[in-house]
Amino acid sequence: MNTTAQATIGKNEPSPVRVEVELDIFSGMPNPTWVLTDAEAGSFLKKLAELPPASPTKLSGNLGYRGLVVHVTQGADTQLIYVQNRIVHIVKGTMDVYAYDDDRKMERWLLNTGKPHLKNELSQVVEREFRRLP
Amino acid sequence: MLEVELDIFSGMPNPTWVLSRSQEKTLYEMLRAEPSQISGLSASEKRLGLGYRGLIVRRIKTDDGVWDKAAFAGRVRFPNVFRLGRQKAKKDSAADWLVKTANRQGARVDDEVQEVVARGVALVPALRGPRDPSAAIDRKRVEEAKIVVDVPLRPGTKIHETWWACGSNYFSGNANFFNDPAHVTRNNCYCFASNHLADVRYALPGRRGGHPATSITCGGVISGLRADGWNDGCQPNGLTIVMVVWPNVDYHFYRLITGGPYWWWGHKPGGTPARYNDDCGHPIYQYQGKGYAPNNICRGNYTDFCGYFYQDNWTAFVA
Repeated sequence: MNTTAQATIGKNEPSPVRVEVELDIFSGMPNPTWVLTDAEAGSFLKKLAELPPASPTKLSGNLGYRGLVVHVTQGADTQLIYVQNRIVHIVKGTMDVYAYDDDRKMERWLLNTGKPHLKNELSQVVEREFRRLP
Repeated sequence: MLEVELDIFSGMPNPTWVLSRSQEKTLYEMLRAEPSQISGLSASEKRLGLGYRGLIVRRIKTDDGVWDKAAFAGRVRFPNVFRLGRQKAKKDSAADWLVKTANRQGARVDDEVQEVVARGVALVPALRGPRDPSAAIDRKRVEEAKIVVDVPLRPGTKIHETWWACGSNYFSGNANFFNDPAHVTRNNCYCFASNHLADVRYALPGRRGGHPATSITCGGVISGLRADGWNDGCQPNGLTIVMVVWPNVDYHFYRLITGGPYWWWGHKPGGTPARYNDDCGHPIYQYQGKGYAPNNICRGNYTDFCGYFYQDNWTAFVA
């Protein structure tokens, strides 16, 4: 699987971007993760840039499905993006930005990219959570 | 409880050892007399090279030792992690003294290493590390208790049905200790239950004891707990924890953080902040037989209740 997208930072220097998605669901065991393909990574970054800003919001720390944590690595730069129930929290170094994920579209799209990687039981837990908090 | 790391190797693990209570006291007094010996950790790392880089001191557990007593009594407080060795001591060097405690505490520091250490640290800038804010529990919530649960040590209670009100406990509502931004995402539920700020994101019962849990069932994870030193009955200076399991998927822990008349529990779901309430928002406490405890709170998929376990705070570690 091709796992790095080519993004442009400088004028002529493409830098590979690695986008890893973590399903934030477990307490003790490691959370399931998967890496986006080049096309998916490009699409994710585009969607992220288009999100409208939101006010800082405290994210949930419940047991069970809490949302997604996206790890974006580009050269020495890393970004952590928490996607949780309409709120997207982007952390990059000291930068701390919140955005609004209308109708949980970004969250659903990311979950869709993980379908081939997730066990049925986990997918069902996530679906139940979406039904509980649509 | 303090762990000391001799920061000298690049690829191999650095020698580490835990200070005894009397050594901890001596170190505290030396640093109190001359706190300028302390350097911060993170910012200084960029300016350190190969070879002896000083000693890193980590507060890896809260306990009833000199360090914690001093902190809570409002006396001089030190960071949870700091470096010694760069800032020259005017009088008694804490770094030089600490190196001498290594062999006594079972760490192997051979002659060749000691020779390198004797030459001193080349460069470490001084910066202060993170502080440990003390946790506060909102006791006003006690008035809201409504749901009846078992009183600890009720006569005739079967083991694992409720917890023992032990005579010698170590209680600490120290969620803030684990919620330090530098550590919150790096410690899981088992770290919090064991009161060990180990920075092991996926600490697994039994790994420290050499027999990691092989299946995510009550039986499988309990055998891991046994290997790590957890027992079914009270231990001196004991921690009391509860294990629950999402069958074949995951495990979760709660730790008793106060004794009676209030019985508060805390827990840390994965890399999220430690807290004292459940998924439905109930504060996890009981008062005079009423309230919430791990056996009757909202636990989502963690449906299997595996029981209560006990261990001396001084020996409870994770890996």
